[in-house]
Amino acid sequence: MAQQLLEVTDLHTQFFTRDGVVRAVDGVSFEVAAGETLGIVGESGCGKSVTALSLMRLIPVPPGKIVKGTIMFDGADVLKMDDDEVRGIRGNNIAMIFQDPMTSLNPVLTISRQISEALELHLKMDKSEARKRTIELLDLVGIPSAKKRADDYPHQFSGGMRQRVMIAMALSCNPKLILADEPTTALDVTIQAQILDLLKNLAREFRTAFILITHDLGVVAGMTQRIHVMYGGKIVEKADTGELFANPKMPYTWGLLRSIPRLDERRKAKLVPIEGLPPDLIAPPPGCRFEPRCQYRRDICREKEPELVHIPNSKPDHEARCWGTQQGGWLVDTDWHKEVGDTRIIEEIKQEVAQLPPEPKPGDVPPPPAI
Amino acid sequence: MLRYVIRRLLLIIPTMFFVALITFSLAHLAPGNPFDKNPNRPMPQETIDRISRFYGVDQPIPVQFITYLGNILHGDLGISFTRRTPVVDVIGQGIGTTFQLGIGALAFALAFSIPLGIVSALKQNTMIDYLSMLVATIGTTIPGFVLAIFLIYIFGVNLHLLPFVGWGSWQHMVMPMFVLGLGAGGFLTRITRASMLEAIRQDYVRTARSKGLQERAVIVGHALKNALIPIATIIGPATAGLITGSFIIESLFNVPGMGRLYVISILARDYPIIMGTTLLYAFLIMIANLTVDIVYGVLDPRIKVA
Repeated sequence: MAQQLLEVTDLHTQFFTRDGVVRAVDGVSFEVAAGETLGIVGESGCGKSVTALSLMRLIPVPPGKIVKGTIMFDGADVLKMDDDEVRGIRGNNIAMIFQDPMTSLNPVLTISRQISEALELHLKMDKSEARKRTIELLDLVGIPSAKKRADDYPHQFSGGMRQRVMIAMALSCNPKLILADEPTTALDVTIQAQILDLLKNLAREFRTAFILITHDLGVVAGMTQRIHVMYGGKIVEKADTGELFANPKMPYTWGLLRSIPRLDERRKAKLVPIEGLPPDLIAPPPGCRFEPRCQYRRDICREKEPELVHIPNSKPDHEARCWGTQQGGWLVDTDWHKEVGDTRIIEEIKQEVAQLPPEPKPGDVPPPPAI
Repeated sequence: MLRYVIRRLLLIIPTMFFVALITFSLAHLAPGNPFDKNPNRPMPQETIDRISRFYGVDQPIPVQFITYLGNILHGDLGISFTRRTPVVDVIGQGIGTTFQLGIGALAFALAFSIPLGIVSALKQNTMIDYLSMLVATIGTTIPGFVLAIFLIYIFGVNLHLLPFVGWGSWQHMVMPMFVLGLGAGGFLTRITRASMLEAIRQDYVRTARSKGLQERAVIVGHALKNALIPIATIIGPATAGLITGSFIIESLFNVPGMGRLYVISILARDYPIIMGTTLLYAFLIMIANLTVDIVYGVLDPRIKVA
């Protein structure tokens, strides 16, 4: 395999609380090549955000702790670095866009100050250079009259504008990887689309790899090349975006696909929610973590946890963690569409995915353009 | 901004009028008269009448009030009944001392409370946190006069380390400043800890960390700047309180400041001094509040002062 930009192996992040040890991330492995885009999808509380924060070592310690695993970024293990080295990576090589732009910007500092800070720190710019670059960045993310607005405070910006500022901040030092943690969840739908477009276009333009974390499969559909579905602190399915929508191999993913809403009044069928709640990560189910909520479960699901393995009748890099769809399982030939009723949304997403740009070949990453 | 300050300064005038009205009424409502017959020093009735006429106390109370207001406009606060010197001079002698004591106590309070509050927030639920909360609780719960008596007994009477009567040298200042500052400081420590605890849990602090800033820059540049807003709200009234609220401490340590003067004048029904001191206290509190509001606007851009 070619040299990956990011290679996470067997990551375990736990929170030590009064009630017990919360295994928020429980053995997650994945990799991201330079310039590649990856979606991590799952319900609230399944460990997506903790995974992202772990990559930058931003887990609050205590109560959190990364107890096991390696995070190889650009050939060095983030977990073995000292604090100074990690700070050298944060904001510089890996940047993060947070969920709530209303609270993620400091209310008492100007926008320009908050963006310039990283530029002065990592790129050793002086104040006037940093300011100039800040205005260019604000311009780039579509803030009108950026020069005038640079000295405004966050409360003078709307939610969408603030998220644009966050994107400008993330891009400021030309990072190799951007982690976007539910970047559009706090925004209304029309703004969501704008922000996603902006993020997609800028990441492409800058040749930045990014990991898009969301609970909404509809959001990642047009955005990323690959998707990992997380459930209960583990990755339960890995596939190309197109493959995942065309040929999902895990009942949880089926459930997620059935719960995508659509604006179509002709549609008679109601959204099908996944019954029940995500598992308690202090005492997770002994077998498959999805077993208590799975409508296809059998005894083995409760007794033994399935491995994340390649699934028959699928693309070679398609893996899932399910006894039913594995070789010899009882769901291998199940057509999940039949259980859903209306699948037009899936067809639309498939079309959208077909329009995605081809994946860049590993190692074929031109330097980011100067701006 | 300037217009705002001018408007606020103008608002002081009607406030002062009502303060004067209320104080004047209350002082005269209280039973007794400054020239009551004193069994130890009997005065003939005509002497009392003459003195009353001289000080204008024989006039009806509304007339006295209007005369008083007229005099204030000329900068004349009247003449002290007990000292026979202008009130302005009497207050002038005490105010410097009171300010020294108040500012000293404030400086002491700030110097220990803000660092202590920050450290205990950063080291929440550790020994350091518990210790500083113990100090803060002692400061807020033990009344100043109790603490003062203990200190006088230990450091003054028994150890002979510090003088406990009068004012002048720095040794005189140590105990009153400590007692006065500890109470305010204890309270400020708690406020600082609470607002710092809130600030360091905010998303923008995580954002600041994600930029790769040093922990120090994150705490001072991002968290503390926000935490200061509630602290500033408290410091204003606390300052006014320290300057005006020192009468017990001044009386205990025999400090010749305004607080002691105030207590003595109330007991002696020295109306001009009571009025003058109250008005000055009211003025100081209003200036302190105005200062807080201005500082507030500077610290928090979301609050628009104008």
